[in-house]
Amino acid sequence: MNWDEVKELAPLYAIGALDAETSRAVEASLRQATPDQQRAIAEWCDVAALMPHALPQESPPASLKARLFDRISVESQETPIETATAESEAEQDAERVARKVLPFTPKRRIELKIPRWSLAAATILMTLTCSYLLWQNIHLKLQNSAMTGELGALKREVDDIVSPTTRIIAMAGDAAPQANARIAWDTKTQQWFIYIFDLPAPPSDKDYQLWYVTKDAKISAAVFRTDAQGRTVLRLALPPKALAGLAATAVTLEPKGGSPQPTGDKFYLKAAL
Amino acid sequence: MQPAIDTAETRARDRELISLVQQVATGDQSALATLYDTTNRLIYGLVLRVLGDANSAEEVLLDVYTQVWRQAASYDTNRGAPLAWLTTIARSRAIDRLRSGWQDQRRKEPLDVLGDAPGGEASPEEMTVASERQRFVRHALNLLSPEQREVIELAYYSGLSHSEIAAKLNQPLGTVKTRTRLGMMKLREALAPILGGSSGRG
Repeated sequence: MNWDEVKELAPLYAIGALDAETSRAVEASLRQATPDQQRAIAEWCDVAALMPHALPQESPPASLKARLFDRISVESQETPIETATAESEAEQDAERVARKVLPFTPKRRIELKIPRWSLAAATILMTLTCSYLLWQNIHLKLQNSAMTGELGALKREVDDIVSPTTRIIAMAGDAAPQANARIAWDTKTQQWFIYIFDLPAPPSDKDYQLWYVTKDAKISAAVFRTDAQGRTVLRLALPPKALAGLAATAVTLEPKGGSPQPTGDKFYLKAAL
Repeated sequence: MQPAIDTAETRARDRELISLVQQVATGDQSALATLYDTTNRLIYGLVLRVLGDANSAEEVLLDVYTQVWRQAASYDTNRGAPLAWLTTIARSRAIDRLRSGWQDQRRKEPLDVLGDAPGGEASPEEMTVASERQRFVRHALNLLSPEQREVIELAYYSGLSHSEIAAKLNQPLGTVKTRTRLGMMKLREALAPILGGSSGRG
């Protein structure tokens, strides 16, 4: 799309009247535009953004602010809060138990005759049980820490995907008709998350290779394999040399380890950008 | 006659908002509280207009400010005014919810939220600035023909593309595009005095 077309479409783009495909084409052109050109379009967006000022301003319920900060606090301090809560609950439990223990004075002394060997066995058994419980506790803490990390990464990934600056691009291919993929392109950070489905695992002497296709070159983006279900997820940072004139992306099947340039003309997945 | 507006005041308010967003980006919750107090009525009015349902509008409002909390660092003053950034997030969230068929997903609110009183009013100073801007934008919208205003509002508040608007109004696509373009040009001309300040670049 040339700049005259972008300028022509700018008012419709700003007010949200373009269909998704044309809107994406405008955004693609904007990424290549000069700062002055970008500002010219931003001014149309400022015009649209003034629209809500004409509406009657309404007050939301007062409790909403507290709900907002509850939500933010939980998000910001999720792990420490959970840990602190668990500790304080444990302390409270201990206190509760302590309060329930009544002073006990035995009315008569009970003497039990227990063989020494059984006391030793019980001690060993108790030591082993404690060791096992300690090991299990450490293992669960490590597992919990790893899962918290994974959850945090997933949350960030979801945030990136739902961001208004993220474009979603569908990929399909000729060589594997059932295969498909979605690129979530964060245009702020210039990162791609690519979710690939139903692309059969390559033979053991081959790998798939993803290419950035510009006007002048095909630049290797990633060499990858899919799992037995034909799935994988790629996370890529777009290099500046790919961003200049990026027109398409495609996946080819290459010798193991990838190739400097595509060796085949079959596209397993492809998308125009 | 065009209503008067204090553009210097408008610019000063925008600078304050930019500063608040920058503080939010550093993790300052009190800055977020101030930003919320200053803007929640405008943003709630917008999402309520899009969704037409208070329960959904409240949920979207929470999502909007949560997103602001997470993404304040990504706000770029060169790409638009702080209120434009905020309203763009809010419109986008509200339209997404509208398209996802929120009507089928309504949930009962917890008892402690039912019958809750509306939040506090904005300060007199904020009300003055807001009402000045409101009068100014309303005046600008009143300069449009009813047909131009209709297509612009359908696009902005209902998230309809020009082809969907053409089908809805039973009008040729070219007519809808022309009405939208002319309406936007007229709006831009009428809003020019506050666009410099609004953009945060002037």
